[in-house]
Amino acid sequence: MTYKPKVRRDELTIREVGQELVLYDARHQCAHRLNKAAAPILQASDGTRTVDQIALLLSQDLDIKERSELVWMTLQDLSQADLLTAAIIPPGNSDRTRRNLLHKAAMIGLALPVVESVIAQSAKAHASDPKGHWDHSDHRRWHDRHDWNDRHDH
Amino acid sequence: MSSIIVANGPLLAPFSIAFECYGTRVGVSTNEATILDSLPAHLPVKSKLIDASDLENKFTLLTNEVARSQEGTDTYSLYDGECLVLSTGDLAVALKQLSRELDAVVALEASPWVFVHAGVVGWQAGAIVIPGRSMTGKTSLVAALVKAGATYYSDEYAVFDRQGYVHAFPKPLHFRTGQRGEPEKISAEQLGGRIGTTALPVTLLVSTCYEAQARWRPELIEPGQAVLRLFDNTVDALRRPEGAIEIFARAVSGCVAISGPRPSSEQVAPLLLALCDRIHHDTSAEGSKLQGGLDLDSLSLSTPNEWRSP
Repeated sequence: MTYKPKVRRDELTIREVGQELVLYDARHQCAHRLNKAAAPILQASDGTRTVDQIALLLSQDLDIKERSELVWMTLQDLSQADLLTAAIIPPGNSDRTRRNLLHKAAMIGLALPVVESVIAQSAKAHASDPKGHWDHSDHRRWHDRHDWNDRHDH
Repeated sequence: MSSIIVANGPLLAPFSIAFECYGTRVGVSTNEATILDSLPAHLPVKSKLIDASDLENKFTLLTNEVARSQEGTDTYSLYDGECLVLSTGDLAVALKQLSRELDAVVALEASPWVFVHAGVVGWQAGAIVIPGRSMTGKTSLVAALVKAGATYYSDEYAVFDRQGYVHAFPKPLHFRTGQRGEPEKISAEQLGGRIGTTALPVTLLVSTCYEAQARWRPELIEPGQAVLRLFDNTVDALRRPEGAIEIFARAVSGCVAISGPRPSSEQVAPLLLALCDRIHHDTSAEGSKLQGGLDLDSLSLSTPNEWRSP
């Protein structure tokens, strides 16, 4: 397969935090965290490498087919988060392969790639959160600011 | 603290003060000289009065704006800019709301600081930061930590500077008591504690919430997860998201981060302080930061019931 995944670069800020990556996606206003297993896959997805070539960069604890599946799993997560330049269609039987892979990883104590996301909370969202505590004060100011932006954007 | 009276101010509210807090400049005006005198007590902690008129944020508290009520009692109207926030016949209610509004505007507008919903205490030259919204038990855990000897920084906001250090926002602790959760404010001094004055690096980040039946079995979380926990509790993460992430990355670079539900504050507080002691001890013994170098076994976190406070 000659597909060469490429991570979207526009409206995306990437910060290394230890061995992990934290991304801020301004397009969708959310932050993502990639653990140390997922981080090298994203870093290698620059449009110059095939999935198998990226797989060669991963842990030697798995055979090359399993490593390729690991890359596909991560790419699926990245695609769902709209972090790739183009959406992907993974190869067939991915669910079954994924289950086998999860089982094997658990057996050998291998960290699986994790992509965790949170939506950037505005003051408005904090206010509407039942556990938020600012009631209406920050909510109103958020409204004011965004109303202002709306008025001045057009 | 002396009040600044602007004699030639707007006709409606000729008496005003201006203050600065964490880089945010705010003005408060009123039409009653007696109210003006009581305003300084309702400003955010660490506010400094300034002499300025070109203020982005302006609040106005007017007495009998239109007329007295039919009962002949005074009415109070609070405005944020031109937007009416509250109209009430109780001055104490109006001032309390004003105080909340002022805290909110500082937390929203502060720059370059980033405000995160979190409890914070100081312990051995490092900070314990407990990110979380209201009703997650921050205040009770902070209070228990202060009673156990920690220095009080805040039960509401962790204020991060560009270097990722935490500054104090030491309002009185805000407890909810009774079945209806009536507010009660208690100072750190009343708990036998003292207030922190210096900025601290984060030693321990605790992502937790109170659960009555919980057992204390926190898990270590990765630094990227710690950044996400802080980001998720940022007062307005949309305002400067990239800058906030950069600051949080610095803040967690030398800390241990744990996550899990907790039982009562009194049970957990001494364990957290003991954990900090251990982190400090191990860090100085190894001569380097422990980032990523700890595991559950080395901290005995998986067997919390065996822990005893020192």
